[in-house]
Amino acid sequence: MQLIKMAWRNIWRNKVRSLAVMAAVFLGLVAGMYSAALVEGIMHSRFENFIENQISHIQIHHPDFIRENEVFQTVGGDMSGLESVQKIPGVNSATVRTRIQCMIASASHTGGVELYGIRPKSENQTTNFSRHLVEGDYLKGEANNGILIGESLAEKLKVGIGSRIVLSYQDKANNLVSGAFIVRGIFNSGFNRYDESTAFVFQDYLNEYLGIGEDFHELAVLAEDINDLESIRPALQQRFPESSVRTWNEIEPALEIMITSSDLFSYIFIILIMIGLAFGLLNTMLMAVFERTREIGMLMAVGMNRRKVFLLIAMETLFLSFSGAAIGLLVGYLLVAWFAKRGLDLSAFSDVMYELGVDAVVHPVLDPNFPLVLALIVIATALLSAIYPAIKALSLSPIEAIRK
Amino acid sequence: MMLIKLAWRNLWRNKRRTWITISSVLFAVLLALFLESMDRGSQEVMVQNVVRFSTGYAQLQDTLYFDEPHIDNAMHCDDACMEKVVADFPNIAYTVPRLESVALAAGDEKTRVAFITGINYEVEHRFNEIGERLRQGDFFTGREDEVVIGTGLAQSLDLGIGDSLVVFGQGFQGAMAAGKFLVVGLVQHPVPDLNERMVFMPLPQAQKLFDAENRLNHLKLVPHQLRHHQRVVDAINEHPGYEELQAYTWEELQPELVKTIEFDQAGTLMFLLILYIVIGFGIFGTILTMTLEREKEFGVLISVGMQRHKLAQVIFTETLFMNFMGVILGVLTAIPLLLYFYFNPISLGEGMENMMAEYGMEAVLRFSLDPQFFYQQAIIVFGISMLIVSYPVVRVFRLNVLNAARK
Repeated sequence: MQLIKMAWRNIWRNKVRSLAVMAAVFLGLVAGMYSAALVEGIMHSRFENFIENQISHIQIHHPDFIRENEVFQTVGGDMSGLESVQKIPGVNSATVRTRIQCMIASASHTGGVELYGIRPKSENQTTNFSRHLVEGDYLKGEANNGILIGESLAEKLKVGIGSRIVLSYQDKANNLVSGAFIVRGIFNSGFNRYDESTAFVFQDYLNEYLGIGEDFHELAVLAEDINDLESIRPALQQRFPESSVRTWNEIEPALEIMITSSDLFSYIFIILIMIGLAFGLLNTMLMAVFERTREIGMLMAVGMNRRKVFLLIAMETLFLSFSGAAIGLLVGYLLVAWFAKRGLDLSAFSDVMYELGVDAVVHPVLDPNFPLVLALIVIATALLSAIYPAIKALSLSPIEAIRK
Repeated sequence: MMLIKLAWRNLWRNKRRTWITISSVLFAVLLALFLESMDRGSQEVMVQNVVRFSTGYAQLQDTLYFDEPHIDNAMHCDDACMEKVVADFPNIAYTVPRLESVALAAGDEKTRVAFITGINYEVEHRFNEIGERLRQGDFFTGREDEVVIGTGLAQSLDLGIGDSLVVFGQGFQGAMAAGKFLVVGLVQHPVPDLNERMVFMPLPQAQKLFDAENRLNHLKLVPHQLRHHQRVVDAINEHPGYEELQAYTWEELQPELVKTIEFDQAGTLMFLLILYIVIGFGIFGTILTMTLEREKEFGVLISVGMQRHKLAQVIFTETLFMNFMGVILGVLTAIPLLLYFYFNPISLGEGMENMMAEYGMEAVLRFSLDPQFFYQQAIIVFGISMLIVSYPVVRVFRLNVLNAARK
């Protein structure tokens, strides 16, 4: 007890130095925690946007369609299938699409696109697509020959609202069919490559051309909660026993790669900061021990045993780092929590952010285990950097030390 | 001169103290270099992956092609012209020609939108090792009607080696392009999208198909040193003999990639700033303790008549030496460490490997050895540590001689 008190008082004998060390620990933790949460938040926003706007949580296809993309590989049935999916508990919304590869041509350009036949209302409930429109209108009213194309594709084709473009594709019987469509709307989803290679028309209109009745190629489901997909899957599989039911990570494994490498980067970064902190702490304490050679020698000479000297120095280091760390963790946690609620406005970078599919206001996200892991790392770091100076203090010879 | 000698001797009077200070600077440099190297490494990989299989590092095009990337704007460039480019610009190692256009490709029953690409296999392979991704057959056998297609496309069209592929589309300036070809090889293109569409054929054959004799969509320019691509492009654009053509860097051709990298760099800058703060405090701790420890010495020196500004100069010189040594030693320690990680990159863990191999990537965090950031980080850390030195200097001017000497 006496020793603890002594260590605590020793710390405050040199306020500037102690505060500098504490500030380093404090700032390192707060900043490290905050930036890790920010990066996580950006990734989160990117995925949410990508998943919610483009691929949805779950997709259902004809099992061979995923690879072969044949027009006849549809999921059969009429609209009752969609309605029954929408009623499954846990499903927020669902929509069906017809999906084909086709050539798109205007007077000045010919290119390939992925053509989606959509049901405008349920599509918008599921992907909120209409918000991407920058010109013209979303598909509305009775099924007609209206088409929505991406901004970059419109530039390539040199067309605007009201222009006529020709689509060529194979129908169910593999005959080449061409049809004229009128551009009704131009969208910009933020993903340039997507905009360049995607177009939307009325499903009913397209299906008639293809000769596939009310069949569809893709059923996309947006769940209430992305973490609760496995509970919906059986119901969907049961409704469409012959079809493949895939969740977002099965559809886009590349997303998983990005998450993993970004997480790894965050952890390496935190470890680098901790090494930096540990080294600063170690050096400062080592210097402090040498500066106090005389004092420590005196303590030993008047009878303080070596064990106690060791404990004294070690405790000083621990107190320094723990008090900085405790406040740092607390403040870091509160800071992240505050910004998680309020959001951090990064509209300064809005160009790039839009390009990457990130919202302009980012909500930092903290992995619930992160503060705990961080606390453990801090304790390990502090212990390691406490031991060496303490050992050094032990190796002083009292007589020589006093003489200095 | 006297001051320098004095400072140097002071340093070695208390070796332990000096080494501790040097090591804290050393560590700062080491950590900053490590972080920056890791970040640059991942960017380099990103650029390499994207650039190698798309635009190349620099490209020569017809002046109209940039705004309207269509085969109609293909430039005229025969073998002699390609040789001339290499001869005119010694920075260019070799060139990679391409003629490409979108067309419909059909097997027995099915039709797909395909990306017909005429290549010169030797230089193409030299540039992106496309041959390594051949899964079956050969990259061209010397026939006059042969194609190598993406494994994805082959599967969709139900084609194998020896089957025929019919191509139908638009050629140069309205000409009709139609032909029947023999599939002689299957290649797994690393870009999944392109793997579903890619049809490679020898360049002369593509020029015949599209009725575009001696024409190219673009000519990729490969500099001897990849990072000198800007120089190559500038040299061509300033050359009077190339007025009808325009050269571009990959940065101009892929603004999205540039933006992604800039965003990534903004993130790293944030990480670096935090790291600087942390290591800055670490250095400050040691310098501060050093100052305290020597207050008595300073007091005595001043009281026996040393002018304060001379003393300040000595201390400044001492720390200058220490910081300098710290930075140099830091860089020297970093080199073997980063070399190690350069050759043994950090693995992303099992399970990632197969997934990433499909995209033609390795499941590792790569490190970079670009000399540029070595200077940058060394200078920044040196700057930070010199900033911290202002503390003992100020301290000397404020020192209460009586109290200090009495200690």
